[in-house]
Amino acid sequence: MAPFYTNRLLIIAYIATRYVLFPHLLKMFNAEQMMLQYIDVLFNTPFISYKTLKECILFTQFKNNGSNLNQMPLYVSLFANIPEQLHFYMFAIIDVLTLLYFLRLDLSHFVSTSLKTKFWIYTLNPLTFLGLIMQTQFVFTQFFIIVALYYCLNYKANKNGIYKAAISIAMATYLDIYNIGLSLVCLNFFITLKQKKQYAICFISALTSMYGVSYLINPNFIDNVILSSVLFKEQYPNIGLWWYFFTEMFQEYRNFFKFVFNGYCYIFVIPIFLRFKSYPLQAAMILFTWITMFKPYPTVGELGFILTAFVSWFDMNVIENKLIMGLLVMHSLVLLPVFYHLWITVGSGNSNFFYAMTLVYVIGLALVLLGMIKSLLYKEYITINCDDDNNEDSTSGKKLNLVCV
Amino acid sequence: MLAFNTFIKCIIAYILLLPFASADISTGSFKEKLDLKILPKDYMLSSFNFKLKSDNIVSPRTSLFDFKKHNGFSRSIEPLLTKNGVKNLYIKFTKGHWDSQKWGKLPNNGWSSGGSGVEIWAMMEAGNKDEVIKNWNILMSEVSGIFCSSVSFINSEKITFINDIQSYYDVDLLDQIPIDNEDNELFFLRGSLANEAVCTENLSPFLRILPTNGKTGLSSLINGNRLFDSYWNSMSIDVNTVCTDDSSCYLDTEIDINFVVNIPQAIARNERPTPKPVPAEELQCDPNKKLTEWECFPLLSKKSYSFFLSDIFGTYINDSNRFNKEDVSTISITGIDDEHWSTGIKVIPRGVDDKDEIEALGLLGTSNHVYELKEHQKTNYDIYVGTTDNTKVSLNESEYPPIYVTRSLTGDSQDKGVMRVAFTNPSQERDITIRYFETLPWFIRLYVSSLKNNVKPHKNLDVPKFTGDVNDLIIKTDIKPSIIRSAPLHMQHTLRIPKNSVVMMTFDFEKPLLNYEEYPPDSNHGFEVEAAVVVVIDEDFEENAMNGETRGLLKSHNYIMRTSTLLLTLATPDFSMPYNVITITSTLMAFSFGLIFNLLTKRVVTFEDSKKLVTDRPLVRLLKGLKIKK
Repeated sequence: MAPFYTNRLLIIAYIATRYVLFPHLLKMFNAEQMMLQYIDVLFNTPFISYKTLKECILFTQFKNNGSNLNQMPLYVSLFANIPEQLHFYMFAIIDVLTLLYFLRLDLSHFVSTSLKTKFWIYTLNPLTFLGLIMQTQFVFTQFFIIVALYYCLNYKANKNGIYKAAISIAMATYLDIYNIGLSLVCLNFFITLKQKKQYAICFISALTSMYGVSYLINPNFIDNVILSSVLFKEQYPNIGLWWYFFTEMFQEYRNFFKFVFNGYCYIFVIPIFLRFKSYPLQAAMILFTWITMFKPYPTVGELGFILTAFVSWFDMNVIENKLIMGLLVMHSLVLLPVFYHLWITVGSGNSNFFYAMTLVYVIGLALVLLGMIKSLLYKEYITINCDDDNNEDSTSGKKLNLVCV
Repeated sequence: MLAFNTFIKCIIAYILLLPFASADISTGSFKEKLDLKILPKDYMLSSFNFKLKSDNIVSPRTSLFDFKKHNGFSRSIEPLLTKNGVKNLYIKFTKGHWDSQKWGKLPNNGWSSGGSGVEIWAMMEAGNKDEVIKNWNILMSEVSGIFCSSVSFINSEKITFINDIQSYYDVDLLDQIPIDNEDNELFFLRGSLANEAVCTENLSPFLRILPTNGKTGLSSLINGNRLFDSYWNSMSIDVNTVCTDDSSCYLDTEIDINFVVNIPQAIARNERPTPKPVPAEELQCDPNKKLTEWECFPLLSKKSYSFFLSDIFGTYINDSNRFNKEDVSTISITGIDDEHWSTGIKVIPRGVDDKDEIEALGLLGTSNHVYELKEHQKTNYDIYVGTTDNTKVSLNESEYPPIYVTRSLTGDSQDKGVMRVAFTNPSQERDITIRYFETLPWFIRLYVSSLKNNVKPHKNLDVPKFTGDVNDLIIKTDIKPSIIRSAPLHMQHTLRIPKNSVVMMTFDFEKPLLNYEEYPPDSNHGFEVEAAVVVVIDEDFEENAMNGETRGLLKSHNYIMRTSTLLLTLATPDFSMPYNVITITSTLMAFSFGLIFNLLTKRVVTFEDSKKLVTDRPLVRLLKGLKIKK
């Protein structure tokens, strides 16, 4: 009985620190002014920031066709019905639920990450925590992706698992149109054609009905959220590759390159869908990382999710260059806000400094992606070739030297 | 051929109708007035006012032979209005800063001046908003042609539709505006271009509109060199379409030209055209302050001086061929007391050119300081103003402005900032109600939700402080959000400012990047943001006006003013980088594509197996074959 109680105490203490004590401390020390504004560029884009959400809530009373109301109507109306003091707790509840689903997402047949490790990986991830403190929309997107993956993986054990999965992936897509690629990859979770059909129909109808309801609430969301994001209308510096490219791009080619860049985001959807048929969960993560690298409004919050998933869902033992990967990511995370500050506030640097760091960031992300794919290919090779007779080889810890030819 | 026939027909018709047409008595008129107001600290405000009334040239129904007589009324104005469905048009060019702390209320309650730059208001008739915007764009290009300014840049990105017309326009005059088509509506629009450089080429079209062409009458005084060398100047033209009944409509035009000069400086300019320092013996130093050979604090106490208007304007009033022969042109000097100030008029007969001779001519004075150029005397005039104590100038209680407004941008970074507007009600007795009319360009992403209000006492006096909810001070809010690259953010707050207090409003905003071609040539200079309009409302009057009963004119009840313009700096990219950015970004994308593509398409084998596989490849075999042949 004793460990049970200590566990419970620990969890209560954890919740109190993460959701009450720490945010209050930050508020007490005026963190918004002192600290958070410097890393604002990493975590917030107009499409996910809490400021925009508040603006959208205000404009529900006025003529709400403004182009800077970049949030989805259902998301806005959810928060419009909650008093402002409780907004943070809404995000906190979603964060707790994300943690619960993340812990329940059991991959013991694939990697041997214990429940405890997963708990600490999630809770000690500063990127996820800061995303929560800044109340970004990604808290919700991440929740829906994790829920979708959970129900996809355990659809047999759960009643209506397929529908729950389809609806959550539709919600993730609703919040960020760039997640639509995940819906295809998730099709691989289901074995029979009937299940696949159920999933596809449920996904499409959920998404259309959500868009339909949104259209009734505020028809301007098509222009202001979806098209604005896809066509990169809000030109704010962020950590992606689009902002500088399209600021500097010659007028005549701008539309062409917007088309190309969007195509580039989705270029690997079908290849990954076909190649990793038997590993849909990892495939979804790989695709998510690829899209994050090349979408118009990426944030560091997504990196937080990617790293959490990378460490807990992939076999870290077979991945090489972990040090370089880590250093690159750290390097870019430290220098991105510094160079942004030098450019925007101090004026002693220019935009090229910040741009160079976004390049490093994308290279770091590319190495993470490479690690994911390599670990998955290794796993695939072992399952196909070494499962029956050479079982001792793989478990003995001797690493196979694999190459691609 | 057809055109020629029509032309002939027209000529014949014209000849036939000419006797009847010319039999009409001209209803047009022209009145001119000059008001010189001596302001404290040796400043002088010169207000020229010209009132033009056209003949009945606008008829609500277009007749077959629509001959228009202009009778001295400018020919360029009428087509400008009728072609684009414009009923009323107000154009205001303003430059400089009106120091209301020193100089009091704006002339004409602020209605004849705009924010720094160009400001245009128009009452337009159209079926819908798109049509209005289309007509507005045509109107702007025509106006920019006539007034030689770049107002054609005021497009849909900058214009606002005005909702609460009653604060800006006499509602009872709406009935007098003819509407051509029953289905159409009237729209009241405003557009402005901040800090447009107003100069002589904008003035000459104004003078050309006058029947005197700026050559005779009071307008002969106006001279671009002197007008634009002032502390504050404003030129405005108000054109109203007025219909007394169905058939008789006319254009009522009022031109106001106001400017403030510093009298000693203007006189000194005559004495020393090149800027040289005042000789030491002419300096009036304050003996109570530090006085050495190098330091001299100017004497602030009374000084005496006298001047003629020709010293300030450079010319005499030319009365040789005045247009309004039946009317009088008035010159009045206000803001002075009789004890210390004296004025006079000098009549200079024709043919007297010699300077000494003119100087020897005598002065005629009046007790009320009003001079009328009455008869057609073919002479020149000059006005004399002299004082024994220049400090004896003071503003009346009623001449103090009811409100002071300051607007500023704060924040040290180029991506976000705070806009702060402070409204001060200096009055000790009564609260005031104002309309704060703001139009911001789309590249200011203003968060209206971040509005914070704050009230402070203006001066530490015995007047009770404001105690109550600050948010209750906002009576009404009206917001149209901005649309990227097509519409500005427009907000109008109706506020109550408690007596003796300062109400401060702050808004957070963010600034985006623009496309490289949208930056101006000197992008680090920043972008001009137009002035906000603040109207102090007479609530009783407005209520009466809405109910249809009016007493007096709106312009004498509501006081209108503009804040200063703002300079907004945006973050700039490195303009020399386009090729580098395009190539480096593309390389990185291709590089990551290659990495992933390689892993996805190739076969995974152990290192030992790979050697065998590699040797089986056709290229390797070919190379091997070549080696063997050697």
